[in-house]
This record gives sequence, structure tokens and C-alpha cells, in this order.
Amino acid sequence: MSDDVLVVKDLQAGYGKKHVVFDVDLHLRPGEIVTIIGHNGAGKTTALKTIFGMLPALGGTITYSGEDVTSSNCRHNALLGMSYIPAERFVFSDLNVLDNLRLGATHVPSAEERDRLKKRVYEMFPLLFERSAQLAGTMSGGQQRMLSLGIALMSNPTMLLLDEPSLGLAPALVAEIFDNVRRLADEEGLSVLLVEQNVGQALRIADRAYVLRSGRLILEETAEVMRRRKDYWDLF
Amino acid sequence: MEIQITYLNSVLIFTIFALSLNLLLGYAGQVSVAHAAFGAIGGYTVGYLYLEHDVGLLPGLVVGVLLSALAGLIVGLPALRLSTEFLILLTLATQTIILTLVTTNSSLGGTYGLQGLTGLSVFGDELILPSDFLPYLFALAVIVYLIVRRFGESPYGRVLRGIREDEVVCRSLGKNVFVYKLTVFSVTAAIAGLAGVLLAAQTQLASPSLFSFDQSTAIIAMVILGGSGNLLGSVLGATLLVLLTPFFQNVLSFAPEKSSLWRLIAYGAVLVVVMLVRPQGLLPEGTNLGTLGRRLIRRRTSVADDAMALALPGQAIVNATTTQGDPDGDAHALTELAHHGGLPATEGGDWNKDEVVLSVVGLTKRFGGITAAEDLKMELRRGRITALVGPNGAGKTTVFNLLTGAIRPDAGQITLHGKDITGFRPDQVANEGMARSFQDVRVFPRLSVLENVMIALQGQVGEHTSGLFLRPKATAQSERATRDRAMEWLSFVGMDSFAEYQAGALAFGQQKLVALARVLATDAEVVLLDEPASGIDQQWVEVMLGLIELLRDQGRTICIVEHNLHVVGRLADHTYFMELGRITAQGSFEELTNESRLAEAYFGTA
Repeated sequence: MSDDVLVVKDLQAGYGKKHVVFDVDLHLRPGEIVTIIGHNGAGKTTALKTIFGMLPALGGTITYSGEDVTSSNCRHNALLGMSYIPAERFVFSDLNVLDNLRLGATHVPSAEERDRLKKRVYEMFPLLFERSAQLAGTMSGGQQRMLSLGIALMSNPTMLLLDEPSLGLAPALVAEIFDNVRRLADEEGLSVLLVEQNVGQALRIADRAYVLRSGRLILEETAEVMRRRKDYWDLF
Repeated sequence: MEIQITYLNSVLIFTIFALSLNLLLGYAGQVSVAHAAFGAIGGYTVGYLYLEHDVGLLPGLVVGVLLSALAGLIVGLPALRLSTEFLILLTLATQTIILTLVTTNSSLGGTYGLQGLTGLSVFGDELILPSDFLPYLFALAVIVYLIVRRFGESPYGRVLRGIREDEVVCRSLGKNVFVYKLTVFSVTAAIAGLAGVLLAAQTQLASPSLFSFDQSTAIIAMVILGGSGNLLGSVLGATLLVLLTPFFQNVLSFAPEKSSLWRLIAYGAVLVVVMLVRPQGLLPEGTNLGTLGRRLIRRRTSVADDAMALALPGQAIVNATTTQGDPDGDAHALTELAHHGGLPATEGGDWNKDEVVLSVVGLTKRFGGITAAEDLKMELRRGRITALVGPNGAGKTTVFNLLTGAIRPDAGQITLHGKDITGFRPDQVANEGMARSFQDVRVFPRLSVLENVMIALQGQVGEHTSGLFLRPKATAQSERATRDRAMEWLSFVGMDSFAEYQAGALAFGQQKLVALARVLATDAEVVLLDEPASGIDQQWVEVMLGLIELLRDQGRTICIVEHNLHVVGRLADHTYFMELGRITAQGSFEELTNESRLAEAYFGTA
């Protein structure tokens, strides 16, 4: 569809000689949360990194807001409005919350704009305002995840790429983080591509789901239909 | 004429230095910057014994070489567990310490060294002119070449190169890496000591400048320039760099001081340029005059090769889909079946009635506050595939590491064929009959595909110094048998047409098949496969599964860790479910997938 914020066709991805993702098609509409699920090693993170431009695509096309970004690197894609939060090491541990947020707005041109974005983050996450002078590395896992969302928001993105945000978090915190992600999609119109191992939580907030197995897409389904399943053993 | 012979003598002496360093650095991958210092031990010993105690050249030489060997052993011991950066630091310290000792010791002549080493004689022959030294130096150079070549171009050398490429994998294939490293350190130090003796005798003095760090650097440059892992290359490198001196002095007419300065600059420049432009050196590993035409294929250079690389090995598909296996394997398969009392039932049959091959009780491992494995109890039964599944961080890889001795358990017992192997080293575990593959494959990239499999075979005569030097016929016979057997395993996985390819040039899926052949070649009865289906496309997964099922039908005991549950469902006769270091469920895959609690643990709750 022409109003899709992201269209990926026939994606081939991998690491040098190791071809890990084969013939993947997916698309993302504005304000939609789409989750990619599948077993460990299925190629979910590889696909995400390739879409963001951290890895060169081995084949296929990636189109972002109508522009061909297949051979773009992540710096270019970040300027176009993509924001990526990795599964690990997603905050600058040695810097305080405020500096972390400032780094997220590196390419925002004006100081007023940066201030506005910062205020918006503090409104959404009051906890970050309270702890703005605290070193990120001393915060709990859940708080760091929250900070990572804040950093992503500071670049005023149109699409968020999240890699396993539930990793290492207690179930209650996972729910809270995911609720925040849903809020971002609903209130700010952010499109979200969410890679997750925690199928239950991901399907709670997602609109659609893609299932990868051994590098290939084996299923595309609405989250509603997926939620009605008894279990997911046959997909993993 | 005598001046030219002096240079020739120098070439011969530095050839001996370079050959020995090549064995240590080029073949075994141990980066040492102390080579000249070991030479110092030899040179100073001869000088001291001759000048102070009137000891002749030959006995002095013997003592010098033995002392160098001892020094090599002493340096080798702490070096056993060091990574490359720290090994460089250790050998740098060694070079500095030895040189400082001789420089500050007045009885060793201090900064000027022991001078006036004249009147040396050998077998009554007085060594005065350079041409007197020449025949002995030539003979020794040839002898050293033959010895080093025997070490390097042999089953023993293959293990050294395996250690260079991947020590951990080498251990997991049953090689006692420590013994190899100590031997190589000691032997190469001894040869360096010999070269030091010859250098001191020829120069008629033993001084710190003769055995300095600059000298060690020069020898490294000779090895790298000539070709790391190529012995003819070391001869070439030594020749070229030694002849720089007459080049600077006679051709460019530099004064001696200017010449030695420029020589030093040249060594550094050679090292940098070679590493950037042609790291394999002038004569790459594996080339000699005879094989210049048929070198190991380094990279795919044509489209045809690319297509071949990505295509599935035809024979592998045949093997994987035939219950009998390939014609050559039939005999082996039948023997195995006869031994194990018939084909085990592939579906059903009572898992509990099969013989327990590996038994684990109370296995526990903690890393600080984290319990990676808690009180594990598991069994692997003959002719069955057992699977370990569980969410991320459940401890599956830890189990493999504990079973193979890569890490020591805090508590518990591991019993293989009724023998307690708890606390065994990885190479000992492999010798007892349990071997593993690695999730990231880890073939030895600079070895050929065939060598990758040959190295895994057990009981090779030529892998031990005694067999290598004292039983040449048995070694040759054993090598032929090893080659044949390795080719059989390559045929089994369908990679035999790639035998001469460098393993690092293969596609990932092909490397995975080679790694499978490698672990099977250990003839280990218990095979632990770490994510055999990961990182490859569907068709390759099918081939892999077919081969594993064939192995199970042949009576092997197999355990797999897999995240692809479709693969587990297809292969596993019995499954253990792990969560946070504990086994929380076991049974057939069907039984486990019917339990909603496990589904919650694996997929998370809504």
C-alpha cells in the first residue's frame, strides 16, 4: 500500500557469507504495531538490523516513506526518522539520564526543538525527570528500558525498531514497558516494528504479527487471530 | 671471497633462526618476540664456558642447546593459558630480562659482551676463516630444516596448525594442547640456542647487541616476509634480509652505521608492508616448488565456483534420504548395527529400556550469584536422540560445556560408559568417547577441508614426537589410513569433492557439514550437537536432519540443543525442558507441548 511507512520485499540478509534471512516480505502502516516472533536464531534481529541499515542487505528492497533505503546505512536512516533500540546495551551507562536523552537528539537542529522533545519525554515518563541526574548504569533494568524509549523519542522518529525489549525484565515491568509502547503508537502515531521472544506480551499490544522460522516467513496474521491460539509450539 | 662467505654463513645461521621461529609462530601460532634471547643463552653459554673454563665448542654447544631448551620450557609454562596479546608481552619480558641479565653481569662481559672467541675447533679442525665454518653451518642448516619440516609437515604439524587456528576446538577433538605447546616452545628455543651458538662462534663474540630485541624483530620479519607456515619461505626471507647489509653497504655505498640504521628501518617497513599488502608472505603456506601450480584454493574466483558453493552436496541428499546410507558406509553401518544389537525403534519403543551411555547426577554450576545449572539429572541412551530445549538463558549451553569439561561443575557426577569423567579436561572427555560440535561451527579456516577431518581422527601415530621421529613407516601407514577414513566421512556428508578447498572459503552451510564430518571422525560414541539446524536454509536443514537420523539409526548416541522446535519435534526421542538452570520437565516432545505451564514459560504470558 502506498501509505505504508515501511515496505520490505524479498529481503535477503545475513553476516558476510552466512545467509540467515530468506525472501522476507513485510510492511508497516502508520501508527501500527507489528511484531516479528520466532525461535531463537530465526533471523528476527538480523532482519531488524538490516532494515535499520546496520547490516547491508544481501538482496531485496527496503522502502521507507516512499524512499528506497536498501543500501542506506543507519546514520542516514536515523536522519530519515527511524529509531532503533537494541536488545542489549541500550543506554549509555556512564552518563546520566539527561545526557543520555541529549545524545538521542544529536541531529535535532535547534535548542528549542530539543527542549520541546525533552519536555515531551518527561511528561510521558515522569520517573526520568525525577532521576535526570542519575547515572544510567545505576538504574534498574526496567528504568533503563524506559530511558531507552525516551532516548528514541528524542530524535522525533516516525518508526521505532525495538529488539526484544522484554529481555531481562520481570513480567510486571514488561507489561508496563509494552503499555508505554502502545501509548506511543496511539498518541504520537509512531509505527513500531517489534521483535520479541515473549509472544504473549507482544501480541497483547500488536496489531499484526509475522512469524519467522529458520530465516523464512511462515505466517502473517492479525494479532487478534494469533491471540486465539492455544499455543505456539508449531510456529517455533 | 671470504667476505662473501661471511654473508653466506650469516644467511645459514639466520635461516636456522627463522626456521625455528616459523615452527613456533607460523605453524603453532605462538607469537614470540624472544627468539634472539634464546639465541643469547646458547651463544653466551659457549662463550663463557670456552673463555672461563676452556670447554670446547662441541660440549659447549650441547650445554647451550640444553639450557635454551630448558628456558623455552620455563617460558612455555606460563604461556600455556595466555592469549596472543599477553603472550607477546610475556616474550617481550623474557627478551628484556635475559638481555638485562647478560648486560649487567660483569662475568659475562657487560655491555661489550664476551669478546675474543677465537681458536674454536671442532673434531680437531680449527675454525679460523669463514670458509672453515661454512660446511658445518651448511650441514646444520640442512639438519634443522629436515627436523623442522618433520615437525611441521606431518600429522604433528597439522595439530600445531589446528592449535593456531582454534585451540578450544583442538582440545575438544582430543588433543592435549598443553603438551604440544610446551614441546614446541622448548624445541624451537633449543634450535634458537643452537643458532646463537653458531652466531657467537662465527662473529667470535657474544654480545647483547648480537641478541637484541632488534635481532628478534629481524627474525620475525624474515619469517613473515618469507611466508608464515612455509619453510622454504623462511630460507628465502632470511636470505633477502641478511643480504640487505651488503646491499646497503656495497650497492648503495652506505657507511656501516648508516647501513645498520637503514636495516632496522627496512625490517619495520617489511613487517608493515607485508601485513597490509600480502599477509601470507612471499611463499604462502602450503606452496612449495612442486605444488606451485596446484595450490590450496583460497577463494572462489568464478561464477561457476559460486554456484557450486551454494548448491547442496548431492551425495549428502542421497545419504540423508537413504536408510542404508552410501555403499561404502554400508559395511560400517552393518557392523555398528550388529554391535548394538539391531536397529532401534525409531518411533515408540521404550526409551527407558535402552542402555544408558551417559548419566548425569546432581550437576550444579554457579557463576557468582547466578545459578547456571542446578542439580541436573539426565541420561543419554544408546541409539537415541535426546534434545535440550528451553527459553533463553535456561542453561542449555552450560550443560554442553559441563559435559565436555570446558567448565568444571561445582557439584555432581558425570558418568560415561560407567566411568566417572567428572572434572576431566576437554581432550580427555573426547578420548573417552564424547565429542561436541559448536554453534558457530568453528572449522579451522586455513586448513583444508580434508585436514579439518583428518585432525579429528584418534590414535594417529604421527601426532606424537616418538611416533613421528622413531617410527616413520608406521607414521606413513597411519597417515594413509587417516586420509582414507577422513574421505569416507567427507563422502558421508557429501563434501568429498571439496577436500582440497581451504575450509574458510566455504559457505556457512558447507562449513557446517564439514564440522559434522569432523566431530563424527572422532569416532566418539556420544555426539553433542549444538544447534545443528541454525543459520542454514530449509533444504540444508533437511539434509542435516537426514544425516543425524541416519547416525541415530547406526547406533550413535546423540544429544542436541535446538531452538527450532520443528527440528526437535522431528528428531528427538526424548526431550529435557530447562528453565533458569533446572530441568523442569522431560518426556517425548508431544508430552511436553501439551503442558500449558511449559508453554507459558517458553512463550511468556499475555
